[in-house]
Amino acid sequence: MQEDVFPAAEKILSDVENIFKKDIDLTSFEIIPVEDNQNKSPVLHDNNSLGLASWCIRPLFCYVYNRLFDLRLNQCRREHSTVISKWLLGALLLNPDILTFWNMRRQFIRNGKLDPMEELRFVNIVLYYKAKCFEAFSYRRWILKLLLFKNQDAIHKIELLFRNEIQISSMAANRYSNNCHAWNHRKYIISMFETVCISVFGSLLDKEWEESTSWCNSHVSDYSGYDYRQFLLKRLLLRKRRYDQTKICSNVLEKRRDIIIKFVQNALHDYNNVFLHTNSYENILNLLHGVNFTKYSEVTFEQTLINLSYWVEDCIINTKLLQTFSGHETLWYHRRFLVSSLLALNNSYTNFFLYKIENLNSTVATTNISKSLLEIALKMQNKDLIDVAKRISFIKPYCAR
Amino acid sequence: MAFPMKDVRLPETIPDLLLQKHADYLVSYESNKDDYINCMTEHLRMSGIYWGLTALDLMGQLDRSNKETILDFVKKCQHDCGGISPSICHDPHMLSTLSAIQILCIYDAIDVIDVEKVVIYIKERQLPDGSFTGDIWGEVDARFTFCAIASLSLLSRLDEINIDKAVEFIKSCMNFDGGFGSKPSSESHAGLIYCCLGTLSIVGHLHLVDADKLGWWLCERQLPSGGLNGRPEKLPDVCYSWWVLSSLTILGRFHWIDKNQLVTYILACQDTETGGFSDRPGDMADPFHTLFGLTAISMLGCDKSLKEINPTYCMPEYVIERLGLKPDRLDRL
Repeated sequence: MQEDVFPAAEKILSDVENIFKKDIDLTSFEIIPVEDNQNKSPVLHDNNSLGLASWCIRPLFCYVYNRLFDLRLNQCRREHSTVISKWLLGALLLNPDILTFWNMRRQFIRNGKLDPMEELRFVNIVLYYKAKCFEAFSYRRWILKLLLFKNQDAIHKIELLFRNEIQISSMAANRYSNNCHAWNHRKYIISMFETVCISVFGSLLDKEWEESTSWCNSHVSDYSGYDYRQFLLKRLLLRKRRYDQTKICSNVLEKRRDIIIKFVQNALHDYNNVFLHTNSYENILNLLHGVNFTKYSEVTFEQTLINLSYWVEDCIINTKLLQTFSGHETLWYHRRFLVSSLLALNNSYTNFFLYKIENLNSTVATTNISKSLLEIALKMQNKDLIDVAKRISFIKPYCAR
Repeated sequence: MAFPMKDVRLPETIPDLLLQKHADYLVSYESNKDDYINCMTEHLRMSGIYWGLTALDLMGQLDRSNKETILDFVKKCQHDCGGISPSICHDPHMLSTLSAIQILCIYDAIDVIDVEKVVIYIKERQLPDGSFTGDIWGEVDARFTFCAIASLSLLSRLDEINIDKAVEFIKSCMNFDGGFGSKPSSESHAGLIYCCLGTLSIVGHLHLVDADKLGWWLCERQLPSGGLNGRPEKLPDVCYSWWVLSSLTILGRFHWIDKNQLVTYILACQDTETGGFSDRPGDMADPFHTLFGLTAISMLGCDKSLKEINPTYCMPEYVIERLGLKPDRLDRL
């Protein structure tokens, strides 16, 4: 059979397009291995899942590809946009790497021939099938920018949109390990959230952190997920109290403070009493960072203590995971991040009594604070972990520096 | 107790370097494709030609390529806006624009395209923050910065863009581990590291890099099989032999990996029947991995008949010299 002549093609494409239109809860697309059986329709639809029988893939793709390029070559011949978008749907479902086809859809959105919200739903399915497709994520971002521009006043709509993007990133990250495109997309969304929906950003960050904790606990080999966690941790470390926020709840403050104190006490038994005589957050932070002079300006130590507690919390989790899964490079690489961020935190605190973005983003660590309790505690733990790793595996200790 | 590391097992016998087979594989690649593969891969055509030509040139067999047809094809892919598309009637993009310029430089035939127009196209892609978009639709990526800087330097037109700003953007893509990602706060990735180092090497700003830290991260990409991966806990892949090795060479730390083991891994990825290299032993060969297998072998210096490759441009060194270009490298540590 000559592959660009495929009589069933238009019917198959219409069926697929109808399923997209009618089933707004469609969640998946797969190619189903089926022996050559052209008497039955290759389009399968059940339980919000779309399937195409494998025998039709080659002729169908050649058909739509050739139709679309015939069209582009003879610009004089007109086709109705509904026909073209149906071809594009088939082409991109089967090969979402072809940028030119996404661009044609972008043009259709611009001309009002395609609905951006429906497009996002279509891309969900494309990403289900090809979870690591850069072009598909890029197309989403383009649509989002457009919608953002259109709905400037409707914050609740935008928030809903962003939350949906976070879900899609999760789906793609779960379907393809180390999916940097999915996690980069999520970072992009979080950054947009930060600028557009600032009033709910704090609670989103807390929720993301919780979700990341549980995700990372069950994906100890997926560094891309850990890289995302580092992105969140940086934001938590830099969190500022907003002017309209009420006072920090004393329960929360106590709970976060205890995380830090327990961490130090568990690592350094000799220092058991060091915090007994101080209730001042300033003193605690000074001890932790090895600073022995007092502040020179108005600084909110409560907020800094809370921020630091996330770093500590992550150290505790990482230590536990490394004790169990010592052979996983990802966990050691993440520990490197924790070590390097401690140097940055010490550096920042020594100079400003709080954490600044310049210090956290700097790759050069200049401090040499030997009296920082956090540093001493971390060094002790590192030593123990490396000893354990050397004993039980051949793997080189990734944390040597 | 030992932990399973993500890696592959090499076959018992490792074939010699099968240069002639690889050349034959590349020469006949186009004509062997069926309709379906053609449609599926047409959007990579310009880069595909660059991969094939560079590989043939390294093997001293550039004359087996169809120069006239290729030049005609490149010319037809330039659009009114100046940008070059991956194939006829596809949309222009920075990636295919660089590939096209590389092809023309290898053939010493840059005048085939309208140079003034392509310079304008590239220039228009730069945003106020110094970054570059891939096309008119606005996606930003450090890869596109490399495309812009490499293209303009090959055309001796670097003065057309804001280099300081471009460097600032590249710097903002640097991570705590010394590596680079595709955008600020994106995960470090060996391919992106190559693009960012390549950019800094062309504009002479390698001093911005923490060469020890990055070199260490890069040499940790080598796995027990000898192969290199592009990120932690990923499988080895021949193409990373190139991205990692060229990066280490630019950093003057080429000797930080085990050369012999890497050669063994690359040789094991040859298809002894069809010719060509694949990502891992036993997989299907393709022109992309064939080029990067050969460039790595050239860089490793283990076959004297292969021409020398330039680590920054991934083009034969003699072409770079002919153009009078001197991309920077750090001294060997």
